[in-house]
Amino acid sequence: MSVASLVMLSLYAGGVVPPSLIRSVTPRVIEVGVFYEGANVRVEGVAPPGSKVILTVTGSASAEAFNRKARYGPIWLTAGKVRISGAPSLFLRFSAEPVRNLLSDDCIAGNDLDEAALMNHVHLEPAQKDPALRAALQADYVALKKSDGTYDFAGSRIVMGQPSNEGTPYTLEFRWPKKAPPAEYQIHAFEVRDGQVAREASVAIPVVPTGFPAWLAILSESRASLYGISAVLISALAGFGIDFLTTHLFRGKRVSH
Amino acid sequence: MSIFLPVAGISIRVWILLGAGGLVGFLSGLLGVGGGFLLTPILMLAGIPPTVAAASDSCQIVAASSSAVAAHFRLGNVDFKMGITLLAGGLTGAALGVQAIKILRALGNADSFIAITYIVVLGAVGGSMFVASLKNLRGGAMASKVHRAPARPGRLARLPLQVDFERSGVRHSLLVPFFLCVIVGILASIMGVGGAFMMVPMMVYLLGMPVHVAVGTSLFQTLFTCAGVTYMQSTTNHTVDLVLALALAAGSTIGAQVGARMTRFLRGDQLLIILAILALLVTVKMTVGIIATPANVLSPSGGHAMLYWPHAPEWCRAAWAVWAKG
Repeated sequence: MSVASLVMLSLYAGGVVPPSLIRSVTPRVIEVGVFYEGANVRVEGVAPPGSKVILTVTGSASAEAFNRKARYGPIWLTAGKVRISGAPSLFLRFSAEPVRNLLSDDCIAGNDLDEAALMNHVHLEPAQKDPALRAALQADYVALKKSDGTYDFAGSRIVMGQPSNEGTPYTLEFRWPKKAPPAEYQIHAFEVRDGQVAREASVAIPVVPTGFPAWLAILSESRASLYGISAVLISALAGFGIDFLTTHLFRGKRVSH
Repeated sequence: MSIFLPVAGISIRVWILLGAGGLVGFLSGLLGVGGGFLLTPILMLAGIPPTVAAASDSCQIVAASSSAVAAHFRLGNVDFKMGITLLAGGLTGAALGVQAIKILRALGNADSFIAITYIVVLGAVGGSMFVASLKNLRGGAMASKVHRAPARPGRLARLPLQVDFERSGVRHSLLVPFFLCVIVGILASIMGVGGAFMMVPMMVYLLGMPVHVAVGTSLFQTLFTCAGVTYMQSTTNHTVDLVLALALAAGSTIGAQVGARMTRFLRGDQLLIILAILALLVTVKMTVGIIATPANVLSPSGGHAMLYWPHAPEWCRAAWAVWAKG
């Protein structure tokens, strides 16, 4: 039984109901329409007296294929493909102060709260026997994820409120990355006390396409032939339509060569 | 303002799509190139999965090339008879090239072979075109004349199926443009490009077609090739993003009109030298790309787009069930 569960049991046994680690998430569902810029997400909750909170936003394990370059004499060429799986598709970490000030290294690793811990779950295909090459590929993978905004360990964005008997309320406001594709994600809260994780809570936050984008994505999957013919016809008509419009706009200005 | 791309599964700024589309459309209308060599890397740089970028690029080329073909048709620059012959040869070559790639992939050297083929072919075509155009431009008044067919070797003139290509003002056996296009198709397929870079110089220097007609006719065959690719990508890989294609097309169709109209103010040699410079720039870029140490040894690979969108099938099925009921 984990330490967090033991703490929970002792609290309940004593008739004390702990405050909600995650009290509210706004919006509950992120709707993706035609014009989508990401979303402003607000998470509110209460950290029990004497504790702090770390929040993470994670996507489920992804599998991505990459070309891997290697040096052959003076030139760099694609040496083959690498399939990287097991790492979360999205990982954002937030806290009121640096995570290393709150948790021990073992505890950070045990709760998958830093790059090194996440990389322990990563599988490379084909498997890399050379540890240095494996570490280099993992580091490059994280660099790619950071560059597109789907991994962020920057963290100190949780605002702690005035403490009360119940605990210390906190608020996190962040911009949902627009490059995170539609899927169900988890907002996870860690209650941190004395350098250990005392309790955890999580809430699902789905990102769901709506309206025209949803209809189009469904059509591309379920009626592929109709979608393909429509794509060709619409594109061709758009091209001829623009030509028709410009011809009429520039009528009388033709110059022969 | 960003727009959500339903198949790519990400959101992207509209101005990036309009700008990239406009630039590529302009080059397409001006030079008869599809522009895939330029647009697909731009889209990948913007975070769009490679397979979606390549497939949607084909779809937008349908829009851009139809716009440019219509403009070139009115200017009398499209040789339909030649275009259909080239199309048949190009498709045959592309099919053979796909088989060649399969063999190379099985041998394990495909990507290196493609990179080196790209540099050698593009460099050779661009370099020779640049030198020839420069010579003609220095020729002064002579340069204003369109290229005419070189004296055809006697054996080629005796081949069967001799046909007059009136619009191009040349007479060839159907076998000549067909087999030349088979070779271009094989190379284009191996290099993963549309092939206009090679097609236009081939039409001008080997078939003796006027540059403007070569550009218009190249666009004609590009239109049909890309229409076929779009349909096949839609049904096989589900990687055509219509929103992405139309956003690009909004820029490229207008750019293609501007480019096609610009051809009236440029001589054939001037058009060819621009095409040559473009080919050489891409060659230099490719060469630097394989010599310079990359910042990251990983780059997104082709493959099914759903690799980038792990939950799409589940929610698609659920949404489809709801939609079908409603």
